[in-house]
This record gives sequence, structure tokens and C-alpha cells, in this order.
Amino acid sequence: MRWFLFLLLVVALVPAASAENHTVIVTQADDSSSYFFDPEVLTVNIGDTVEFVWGNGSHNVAQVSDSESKTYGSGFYSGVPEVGGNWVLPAEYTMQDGTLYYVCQPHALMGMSGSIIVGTGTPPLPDIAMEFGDFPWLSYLLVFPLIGSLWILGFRNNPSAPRIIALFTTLFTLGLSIIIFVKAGSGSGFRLMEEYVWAPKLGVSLLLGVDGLSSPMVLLTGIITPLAVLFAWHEKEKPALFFALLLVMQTALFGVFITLDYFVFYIFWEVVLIPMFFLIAIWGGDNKRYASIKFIIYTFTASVVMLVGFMALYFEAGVNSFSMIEIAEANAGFNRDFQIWVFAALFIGFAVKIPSVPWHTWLPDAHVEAPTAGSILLAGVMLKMGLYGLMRAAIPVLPLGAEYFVPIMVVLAIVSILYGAALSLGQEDLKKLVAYSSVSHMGVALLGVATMTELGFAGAVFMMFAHGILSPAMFMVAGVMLHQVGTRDIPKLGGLAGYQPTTAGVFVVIFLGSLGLPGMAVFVAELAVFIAFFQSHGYWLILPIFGMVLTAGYHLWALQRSLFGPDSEQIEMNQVHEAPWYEFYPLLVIVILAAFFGIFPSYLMDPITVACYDILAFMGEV
Amino acid sequence: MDSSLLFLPELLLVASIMAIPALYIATENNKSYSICANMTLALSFLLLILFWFYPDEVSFEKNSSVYIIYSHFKLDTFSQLFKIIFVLTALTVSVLSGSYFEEDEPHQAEYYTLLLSSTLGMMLVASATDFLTLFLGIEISAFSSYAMVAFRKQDDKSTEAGAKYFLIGAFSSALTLYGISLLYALTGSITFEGMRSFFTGLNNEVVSGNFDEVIFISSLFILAGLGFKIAVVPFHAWAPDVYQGAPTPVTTLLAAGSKAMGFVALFRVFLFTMEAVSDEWKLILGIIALASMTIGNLAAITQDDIGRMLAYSSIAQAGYILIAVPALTDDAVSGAIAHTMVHAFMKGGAFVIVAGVGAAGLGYSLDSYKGLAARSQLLALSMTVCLLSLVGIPPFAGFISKFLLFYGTLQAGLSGDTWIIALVIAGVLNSALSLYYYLKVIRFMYLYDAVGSKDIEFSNAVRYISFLTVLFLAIILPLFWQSLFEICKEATVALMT
Amino acid sequence: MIDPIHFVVFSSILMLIGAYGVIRNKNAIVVLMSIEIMLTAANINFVAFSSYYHDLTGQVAVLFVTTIAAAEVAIGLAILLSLFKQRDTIELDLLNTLRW
Repeated sequence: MRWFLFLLLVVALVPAASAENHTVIVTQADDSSSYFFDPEVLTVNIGDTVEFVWGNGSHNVAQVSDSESKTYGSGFYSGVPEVGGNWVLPAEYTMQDGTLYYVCQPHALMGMSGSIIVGTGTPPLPDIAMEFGDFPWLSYLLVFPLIGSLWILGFRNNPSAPRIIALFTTLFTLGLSIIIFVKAGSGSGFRLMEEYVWAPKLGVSLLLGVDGLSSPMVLLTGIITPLAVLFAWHEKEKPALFFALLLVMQTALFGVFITLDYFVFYIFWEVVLIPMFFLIAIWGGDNKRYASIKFIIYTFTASVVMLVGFMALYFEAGVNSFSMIEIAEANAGFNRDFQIWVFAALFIGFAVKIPSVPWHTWLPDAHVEAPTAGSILLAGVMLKMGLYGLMRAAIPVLPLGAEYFVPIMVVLAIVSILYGAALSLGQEDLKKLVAYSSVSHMGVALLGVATMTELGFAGAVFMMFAHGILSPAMFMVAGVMLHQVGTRDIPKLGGLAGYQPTTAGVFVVIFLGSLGLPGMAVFVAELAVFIAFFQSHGYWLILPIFGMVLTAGYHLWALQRSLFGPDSEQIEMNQVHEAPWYEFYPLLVIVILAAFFGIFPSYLMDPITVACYDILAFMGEV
Repeated sequence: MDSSLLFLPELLLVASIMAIPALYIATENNKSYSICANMTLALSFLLLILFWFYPDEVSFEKNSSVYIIYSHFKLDTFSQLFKIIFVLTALTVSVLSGSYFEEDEPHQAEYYTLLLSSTLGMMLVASATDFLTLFLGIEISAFSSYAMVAFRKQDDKSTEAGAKYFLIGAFSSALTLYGISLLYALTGSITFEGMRSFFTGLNNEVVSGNFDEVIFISSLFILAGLGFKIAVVPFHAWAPDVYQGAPTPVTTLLAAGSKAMGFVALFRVFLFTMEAVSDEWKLILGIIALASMTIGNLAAITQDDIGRMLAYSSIAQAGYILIAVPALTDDAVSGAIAHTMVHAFMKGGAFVIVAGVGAAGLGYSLDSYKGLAARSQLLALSMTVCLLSLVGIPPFAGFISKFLLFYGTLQAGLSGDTWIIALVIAGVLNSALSLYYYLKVIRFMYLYDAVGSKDIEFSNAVRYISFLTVLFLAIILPLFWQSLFEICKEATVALMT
Repeated sequence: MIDPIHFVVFSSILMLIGAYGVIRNKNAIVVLMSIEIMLTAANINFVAFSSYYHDLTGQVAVLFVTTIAAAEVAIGLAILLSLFKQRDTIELDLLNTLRW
């Protein structure tokens, strides 16, 4: 009996081990009523050969799709259909796992189609190109702002040295980030990688690298920080500490965007909070104590939940490394329930930062109380951390979890768009209006992510960049109002255009850009997201479109009430004058940038699209 | 060389304990006691460090344990590591006391003697191999600290705190002793090894019989006594009163040293001796951990005395550490060891500043921290680092150790008992909750204007210690946390085998 | 015949009496005495099982515990004495300057 079983086993194993020959009969019923391949679905192993055999009818076998069509291209097309004769089309499957679909071109619509599943049927994950740089650009990005902040603390008793040092440092890092953006290029995979081992036993290392997803964010951080420094040029209260904190924050933000290690990512993520807390708490408005505490408690609570998710990922992957790339490559082993739970934990951490309704309430408070430079960094860069994290740390690793959350993300995004826009309509404080408009705009970006398509992702990232330069501009407008007019309450303003025509002109352009005027960056992003959303969810698009109507409404209404119309009687109009250079030029720079990327979106779109394709490839969606 | 040399640090303390009373007879100079204590502790610290780095010279083996004095003391990585912590804490307290007490404060000779004997007790606990030695060590340390808490005889609060500490302490040590006697009755042995082999035998059914109830009851009794030392709910009631009432250097010793000693004893008893019967005590420890972190944090929010607030925070921290004990894996326990050590630094550092602020005459309420940043940047910075570290905000050391703790425990939870995951999540959410009351102090220091004069001299000792604390918590540990992890791992292996 | 279980029952009764005394009494001295009763309960276990197992460690433990008890009383009385000097009372209910 035992021998018999053994023999059976041998008989079963021998054919499996060697290459197998399969046959597909290509045929049609005698009355020409039906055409089919037999078997219709064929499962083969790598190395097997398949022969298509047919004797009647004029058919061909044409391959229509597969992951990389070139792989099986040769020998897989039987040419012009011929009547009669015995045709044989051999094909060998030696390359890789995958699923091929083929048809008979004349009879495809009559049901003559079939597929061959090779191996597991899903192509293996693409090898992510990892290019280690020969020059440590990325670590310089982390180190220079820190050096700058120490340098500032060395000159803390000098009234003007801190701001000059800060400007110098940030301009320098701007140069670095432009170089990095250019060097990152638009190829697939990570560039300029660096690795510094920190705790090998636990698999923690400072793994740096940029791809098309992070290089726009690095560029954005590089652009926004010098503008924030410039805008805070006349900070009188503890300037040294102020600028030092700004620079520490810049380091942490760069760190979030360029690190590829979950542990280090979390550290930078949290370090961002500390300088921001002090920026709001020390230089904020009247209600600063409440706002700063609310800000830090909200975001910290969310991110510790996220940390538990990171640890769960680390254990489940079992690769003894916190590297995002390695964990993502192991994602095939995560079962669906695990993915859903962990994605929920990560999503809470990221959604609070985005911020998505219903976790947005910290944002208006933080913005209203923060000093303008703080608001600029908060709206310009910090809000992008949430979506960036979602796309970098959550979606590629947890595709099934992400899919499960698509409906929730769509609902949250649409509610954010509508709710943010509706609340903006009702705001009287210009800064609060901009804060709620951020909720709405980031809702659009979240909508793009929720489509789970390449175009949607790309639109979302573009939105992050576009909003990242335009919403700081809006806060600068609010700051200019406060400095030069004395108030930023919209009902108290009116007729300013007559007294500060140049400044008002720039204001108008910025407001129009922010509401999505074609030719400005936001428009490109919104268009991409909406097309993607239409493709994936159809006429639900009507809801976000309605949100755009509201957006246009509150922007134009605010513009009309504050700049135009009759002169306000609540402010002394003869005291109103043009914005000073250190407030005007940052605005101008932003207008130029927004127009540039609106007219030539491909500079950004190219790398972004490639990176988004990589993400989808990790998810196994393409 | 003879390995008895390894006992030299303890012997030094014994010698000094005898020398200080002699000094008291010989001279009336109050400074001399503190100098003697400082020197003894510094020397003992140096010896421990030397033994750590040059183990071969004193036939100390890091991989296996060395038994001395008729096997009553066991020297392994675990014990040496915690001895370093104890002596370092005592050294800090001793240096701090020198600046905290007035020159003519009475009973200084007694104070320093008691400080040294308390440290000696802790060191004995770290090396104990049987319950009798463990109990003696705990009691030596406890008796000394009862007296130290109450040592300001003219201070009403100090005396009251001392009386409460003494009564509750004596009660709980009687409970522990009864638990030990029950274990002796069950196993017929009083050494950890003997009991462990009995329990292992029970587990492998070499020893027959069902002793679940007895084991459960005796572990409850022991837990009551050790829970008092580490101040976990429901044995925590003394901690806020004593931390508030005692002279602040003594509080520092209690919060940093005595608490760590409690954990050492707890680890030895539960993770080594009673590991085989972990089913009996796992759940109860889990519940205690959950209760103490939640209650500690909630109670801390409403406090307006810094000592009480830090006391409740240390109750919560004890809760965090305890979650690793039911997990029982190497990683979890080494996380617990790491957090116990780092907690000693964080809490110690915070209390040093409390002592400094108190000694400068600013008082002990939270309000006295208003505008501390304007008075001394260094003290405010150090306090901020200690507090953020206690929350577990990166990149400070508290984050690292808490990460290791949660990391190990979560790993155990994911691969075994799923209810442990709930403990980790509760711990993480509690950390977020605790941010609120720590931030209150930070806000007071930076955002409010100081009441009263700005020019206040803080003593040099406080300044140096807080500088070292910042250096250690914010730079050295975060950079070299891999070494911390490895040391703790070694200690865990030494502890659990 | 006296089984080991009788010793355990006896010591448990003593233990409970002691614990009850600690919890119920308002007078610090009586509390101190109750704690001594608890220590005695542990001692009875040690002695009884020392003879049961023919193992001397139990009796050695009793000697140590007795010493500890003496030291404990000494320290306790000293603290209570200094409390009495300040407040003229050792009623535990009156220890309320620090919030419980």
C-alpha cells in the first residue's frame, strides 16, 4: 500500500517537474452558431508550451493584453486567417507569471476569446529601481537647516542677524531642493538614495531617497520656507528663537518627505509638531494657548495610533526592516483583515493631518492663532504630510485595505469639499476663510487618491503642490491686510483697491488662482482629479462640482467685499498703503510660480505620473 | 582573582555607612558627611563601570551568572545594570542634597547614612537569589527611606508623609512576607532556583497536584507588596502624598531608585521564579497595568502640585512598564527594562529641577513654573526634555524606550495572547492623554510671565545635573539606542535563564 | 493528628485578624501591632513547614523576620513619636494635611 502511494506520488510529481505540453483546440460549431477555444481558460506553469490547433474555419489567435506585451509577442500571432488546413501555433511560456488574454480577431465578438494563466496569474512586483547617489544631497538637505538654526542661536542677541542667517540658509536649501528636484528626474524608482545604519538589530536605518512623489514636495518645502522667512522679516518678539524654530521645522519637513524608513518617518513626523507648537504658542494670537494645545493633542493622538500600525506592519512583513520598500515588497503576504485594520490605524493618523472632516477642527483654530509665517508652513507644507503619508506609507503596502476604504475616503472627501466650502462662505475672518478653504481643497486631493487610478493620484499630488503654493499666498494676503489695514475682518474691509492698486491686483490673481482659474496650477489638479473621479465613480461627480461652485462663490464674494465696493468707514483709508517689499515680493513669486506650473504642468506632472504608476504597480493594479 | 571582589561596591557602602556616624562623633562639620557620601557613591559607581567594561579582570562573566557568599548573591548583567542605575541615582540625590539643604540643617549625618543604606538595600535586591535576601534588601531600603521621608522633624508635611509611607509600607511588606511564606509552604524552598524548578516540574507534570489556588493567592500577596513599591493601582495611594510631602531629594530617590528596585524585584519574582505558572498571574497583572496607566493619567490632569502630578505620572509609567510582564517574551522584557531605566533618568531629572526650583524659594505648585524659561533657559529646557520624554515624543530617549516596550509587547500580542494588543493600544492612547498635563507645565514655563523677581540663582549642582540630563536624554541615548537595546537584551537573557 | 493544612488555616486566621486590625483601626499604635500579628502569621507558616520539610531555612527566615519586625517597630515608633510631638495625636483620621 505504501509503495503504491509512493508510486502515485512519483507519477504525480514527474510531469509537474518537467515542461508540459498543452493543447488548445480552435474550433467552431458545424452550423457556425458558436465559436470557441477549448479549453477557454488554461492554466500553465512557467516553461510549459501551448499549441493552438485548428482544422476548420478561418481563425487567428491574436494576443490582446498582458502585463508586458512584448514578452510573449513572438510566435503568438497566427497571421491572416486562412480557410482550411491544419494550423498549429506553438508558444512557450518561459518568462514570468502573468495572465494573457487572446482572441480570434474576426470572431472575438462572437465569444471566441480565451486566456492563459501562467503560474500564479499575477505578474511579480516590479523591481523598484534604487539608485544610490554619489553625493549626499539629501543628507545635506537635513543638515543645513539644523546648522542654520544653531548658527542663529549663536547670534541671538543681534537684532537683525537671525533673519539674515535664516534667509541665507533657506535660500541655500532652496537651491539644494531645486537640484534634487532636477536630479530626481522623471524616471521610475528612487533616486539619490543614501543609507545610514542606525539600529541594524531592529532594522532601522536612515534610508533616504526621492522619487516623483517626494521630489515635488521637497521642492515645495524649499520654496515655501524662504517665503515664510521673508514674510516674518519684521518679527520683533524673540526673533532668534522664531527663526531657529522655523529652520528646525524645515529639517523635520524635509525629513518626512525624503525618508523611506517607517521608524525614521515617524520620528520626523512627530518632530514637526514641537516647533509648530511653540510657533503657535509663543507668537500666536489672543487664543494661542487653547489653539496650540488643541493642535498638538489632536495630531499626537492620531499619530501614536499610526505608530502602532507601523509596528504591526513591521511584524507582519517579517523582513526585520522598517524600510518602506522592503515592507511593500512583502505585501502579498498580508491577509485582508489585517490590511483593513492596519489601514484604519494609518488612515486615522494621516486623515487628521490632511485634515479631513470630521477631524478638521484643529485646523481653523491653529491657523487663526498662528503667526503668518507659521500659517504659511502649516498650510503650505504640513497639510501635505497627511496625503503624502497616505500615498507613500499606507496605500502601496496595504492595497486591499485601501480598496476597502475607498467608499469611506470618497464620502469623507466629498463631505470635506462641500463642508469646507460652505463654512468658508460664512466666515468673516479672512484667515478662517482660508483655513476652511484648505479643508475643501485637500478634500479634492483626497478624492483624487480615493479614485485609485494613476490620473487621480497624479491630480492629488499636483493639488498638493498647487495648494501648497497658493494657500500660503492666501495667508500672506490675510497677513498683509492685518499689517497694512489693521484688520482682516471681511465686513470691516472695503474699497481697498483704490488705495493699494498694485497689491490688490496681486490679491485678485491669487484669489482667482485659488478658485481654479484655468492657466493656474490649481485648475490642472482639479481637472485631473475630476476626470479620474468621473471615470471611476460616474455622475457622483456632480457633488464635488457643486463644491467648486461654492468655492468660486466664497472666493469672489470675499474679494468683492474686501477689495472693491464702497470705501469702508470702519478703517482709516488714508493709512492704507501698498504692501512693503518683504511682503509684496513673496506674493509676486508665488503668482509667477502658480502661473508657470499652470501653463507648463508637465514639469511636475511627468515625475508625478511615473511615481503614481509605481504605486499602482506595488498595489498590483496594473 | 576572586570573584568576591565584585561585592566591593556594596562593601564600600557598608564601610561608609559606618564611617559617617564616626565622622559625626569626630567632627561637627556638616559638609563632611555629604563629601563622604558623594565620594563613596562616586567610587562605587566607578567600580561598577569598571567591572562592566573589564569583566575578565574580576572574573565576572557577562554570559553566565557569578554566585558569591554561599550563593546568596548572584551577579549577572541584569543585576549589574540596575546597580549602576541605583548608584547613579543615589549619587545624584546626594549631590543634590548638598545644595538643597541649608548649611545648618540638623541631622545631616543621619540623612546621608540612611541614603547610603537605602542604596545598599536596592543593590542587595538586584543581586538576591532567594526570597529572604530579596525581602531583607527591600526592607533595608524601605526602612531607610521611611526615615528619610520623615527626617525633617519640624516639617509637618514631611512627618505626615513619613507616617503614611511607613504604615502603608509596613502593611504591604507584611503581605509580601505572607505570600513568600505560602510559596515556601508549597515548594519547600526559598531560593528562586528551587521554586522555579518546582513550578517547572508542576508544569511538566513531574510534580503532581493542583496548586492553582495557592499559587494565585500567594502571587496576589506578593504583588500587593511589590505593587506598593512600584506604586501601581490599587496600591498607589501613598505615592502622591509622599512625593509631595517628602523633601524633594528624597522624592527623587523614591521616584527613580526605589521604583526601579520594585521593578527589579518584580521581574525576578514573576519573570524568573514564577514564569512557569504565568497563567495564574498574567491576567491580574494586565488588569493592574491597564488600571494604573488610565487612573494615573486621569488623576494627574487635575493636580496643581508638581510633586503630586509627577507622582501620578509615575503611577501611569509603572502601568506602561507592567504591560510587558504578561507578554513574557525576550523583546518585551528588554523593552520593560529599558523603560524602567530611562524612566529613572526622566523622573529623576524632573525631580532634580523641582528640587532646584523649590530650593530657590519659588515653591512647589505648578504656578511656580510660570516664566521659568525667563529665569533659566537651561532648567526650562531640561524640564521640557524630561517631560516630552515622559510622553514619548521622538526623538527623546523616552520615545526610544517606550517604543522598545510597545514593540516587544505588540510582537508578543500579535503572535500569542491577543488581549495584550489591547494593552498596547491602551498604552499608546494613554501616552496621548498624558501629553495634556505635561504640556501644561511646558506652557507655564515658556508662555507665562514670571511672578516676582527674575533674578533667581539656581544652585550649580542643579544646573550641572540638568545639563547632563538633557545631554543624556536628548542626544546620547537617541543616537546610541541600538546599544541600549542590546544591553537590555543581554540583561533579559541573564534575568530569564 | 495535626496536618500541615491546620497550620495554614491557623496562619490565615492570624493574617486576617491582622489585616482587619490594620484596616479598621484609627490608632497608629494599634495598626503597628496588627502589622506585627501579620508578620507572626508568616512566621508560623515558615516554622511549620520548616519542620514538615525537615529544612532549616524556614527557621532561619523566622529569625530574620523577627529582627526585621523589631527594626520596623523602632522606626515606626520614632516616626509616630515625632508626629505626636507636632500634633499631639496619632489618630490616623487626622493625617489629612496632604490629600489622601
